[in-house]
Amino acid sequence: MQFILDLIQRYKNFLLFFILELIALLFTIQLHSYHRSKFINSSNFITGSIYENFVSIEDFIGLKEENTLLNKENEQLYNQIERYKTELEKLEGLATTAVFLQNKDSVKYHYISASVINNEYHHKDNFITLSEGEKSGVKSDMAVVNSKGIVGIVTQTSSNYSVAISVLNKYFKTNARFKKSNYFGTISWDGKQVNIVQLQDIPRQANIQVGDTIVTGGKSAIFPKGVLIGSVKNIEFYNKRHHKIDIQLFNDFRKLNNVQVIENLHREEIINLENNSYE
Amino acid sequence: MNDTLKLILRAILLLLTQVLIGNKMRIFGFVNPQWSLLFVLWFPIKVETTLFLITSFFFGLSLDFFSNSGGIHAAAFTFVAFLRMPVFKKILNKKEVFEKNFEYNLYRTSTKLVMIFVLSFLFHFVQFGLSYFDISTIGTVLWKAAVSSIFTTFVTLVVLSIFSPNPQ
Repeated sequence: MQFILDLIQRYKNFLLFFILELIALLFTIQLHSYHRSKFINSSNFITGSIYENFVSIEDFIGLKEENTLLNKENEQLYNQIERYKTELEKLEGLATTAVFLQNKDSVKYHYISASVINNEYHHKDNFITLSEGEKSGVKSDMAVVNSKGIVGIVTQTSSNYSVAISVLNKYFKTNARFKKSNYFGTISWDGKQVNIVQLQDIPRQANIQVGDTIVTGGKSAIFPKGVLIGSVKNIEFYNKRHHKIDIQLFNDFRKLNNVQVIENLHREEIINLENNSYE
Repeated sequence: MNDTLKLILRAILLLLTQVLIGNKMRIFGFVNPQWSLLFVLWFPIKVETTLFLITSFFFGLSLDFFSNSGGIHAAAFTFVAFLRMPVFKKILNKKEVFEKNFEYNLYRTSTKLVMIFVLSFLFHFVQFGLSYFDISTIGTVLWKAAVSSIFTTFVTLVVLSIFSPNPQ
């Protein structure tokens, strides 16, 4: 017994070292799973508010660029409103108007604006910290987009902040399709180049050309249909059956600033329905 | 000033500058000089190793909180803290002098350079190794660790020569 105690006493530092490394490794392994440690992430109060205050300085430097962007976005939105107005006027002349106006419940998505307070793009798995949390209605599994396209999916929330996995993360996967044809595939990232993701599972007969626009497919309860993703940059053929398609994202992940979190108001209904039909 | 207080203040300062400035530099897209390594370099030598290991672990963990990196920094800091003495002893080769009265200024820049480079390489190796977590990417890990260590060593050496508190 004494011998064992002596041994422990003698190697106590090494033992401690070993135990600490083991704990750290445990945290790290949790990191490599999709829903990560609830404990260590930057959506907590201290890290969140430090990032937020520092970001205000960075924001100030990028104000001009950001303004131009917002202006452009405004322009697009105005144009859209005009288009809808004309549509509505046309409809109002028709008898179906009454039905159309009654269906206000058909609003499917709700947008929550947020700013990026910490942005990573140089790791193999990247995360983005956002300035809004549960208080503003942000919940896990909501989509994050901006005017240029998809950004990520919320995975962790606290009352004032949230963390999203970026498109540049090996756990990010979403359904996508060609804008001009209806071929569906899956978007994921191989971890090699910033702003370039891969499109997989596209059927062989699809006619693909460099420059084709890729948008979200809307076959998941997270992203709405038709949100921009990127354009085809490179097509590589492995054999006659499979090809690797590189997509250049419209978003520059080095410069993320203002984003929108999208709540799918019908999500619960969809998931409940799906669960029921599997039973 | 009280030694403990000094240590805590230094840790906070290193943490904040590292997170808010260092981790946003991204030279060549991936290099972030880790001058928070100074925490280990400056940590008093007379303090018990047990305490040193635990403090380093928590210092690393607080960096992990900021960078959403699980326990990567905690592991790397504990690793470097554990190896600090063996590495110094190996390089300096004069155990007795060193344990009584250690000052970075006593040594030539080239010696300091080797000391810091070895520690920062070990640090970055653990850091990138755990973040890739894949034996097939060992080449990338080694390459990134080497390039990062060069920058870390440079920045750390500059800061050390300006402030130079000694880990007594």
